[in-house]
Amino acid sequence: MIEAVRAAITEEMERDERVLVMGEDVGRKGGVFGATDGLYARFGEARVLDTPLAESGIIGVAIGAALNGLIPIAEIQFADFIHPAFD
Amino acid sequence: MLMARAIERRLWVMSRLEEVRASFKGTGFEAVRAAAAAALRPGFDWVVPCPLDLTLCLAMGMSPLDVMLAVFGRAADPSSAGRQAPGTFGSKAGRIVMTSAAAGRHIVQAAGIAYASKVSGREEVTLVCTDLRGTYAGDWHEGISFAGVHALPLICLVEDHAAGSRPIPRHTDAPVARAQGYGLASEAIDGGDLAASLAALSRAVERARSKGGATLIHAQVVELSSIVADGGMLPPEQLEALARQDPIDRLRRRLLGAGVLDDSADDEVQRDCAGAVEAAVAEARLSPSPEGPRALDNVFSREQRPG
Repeated sequence: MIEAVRAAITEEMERDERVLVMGEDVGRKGGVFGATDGLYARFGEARVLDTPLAESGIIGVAIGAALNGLIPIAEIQFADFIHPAFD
Repeated sequence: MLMARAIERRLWVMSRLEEVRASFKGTGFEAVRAAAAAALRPGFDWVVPCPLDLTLCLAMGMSPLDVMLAVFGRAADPSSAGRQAPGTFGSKAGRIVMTSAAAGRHIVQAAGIAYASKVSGREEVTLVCTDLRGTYAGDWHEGISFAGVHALPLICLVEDHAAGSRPIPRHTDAPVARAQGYGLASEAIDGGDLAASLAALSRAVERARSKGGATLIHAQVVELSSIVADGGMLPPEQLEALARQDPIDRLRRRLLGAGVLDDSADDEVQRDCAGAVEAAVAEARLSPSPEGPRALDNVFSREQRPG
């Protein structure tokens, strides 16, 4: 499953340079489950973005970036972390 | 500034006549909002305003008719086709982003817009406005932190009316210090002084365009709307002192003193504004209301992915 997620993100990022992925530990660490493993080295820090532990910020920034032409993939590390982003 | 004031006056009369229910409470805020628009490039730069930010949105491209179509809840209202509360402005062409009334929450979206400008290599600047309450919200901190870390082309304008009608004790210098803590440039200004406001906003825009990062501007303004409407609650000498801080009257005194404005030119501009507002009201009154079957238009996207 993780490999499928990683393959899908990689494919989209190769296909369209507007696609970026952002979230907690998605960068250097490659994601808490390894879903973004290797993407940081391949696509760079502007498109594979480590964010602070601030879920409302992750979702809010992704909404704004989408409004201005990017196609962000916003990762929330665990399902119960989504609640602070409901604003 | 005068057009915004003329619209506010007309709305006050229509509200008292119970024709519409709308008040934008922007009287006293005009100088810093006009300065912000003057420092930006309408249609190129992004603005994420406070709700009810009439002066800024007029200067960025909304017309008096656009405002009145929203006030009357008409189908032709370009912001939301009569759905949102009047004063909740939005324009795709004008790059005016519609915001909710939840203070400070929209700073994170503004940071996202500015991030997209930066990584796409475009010179756009994003202006986001809030009142002082917004700077206590968690999302304000998340957005300002993000803007500081990534040195985003973002300006956060804090419109603080604490000095006027609502003397609640608080740390009024706090936004400047907090912004510095997050790595932003910041300064406090007199938001009732057009020249000082324009200078500060222009510095911030220049910093953002030259990849120098984000700026917070803490503008003190005197909110006159509530005082004008319910002024009997304040002693007359206090009202007179506040009225002298009216940003439009301050600018008028300055221009008259410098000899670049005379009374007849001043009257003419005010008559032009009032005339444009009357024409907008007349047209909006005749414009049709939204049809029931269109209620769900633009509520759900039909696109599979953004274009």
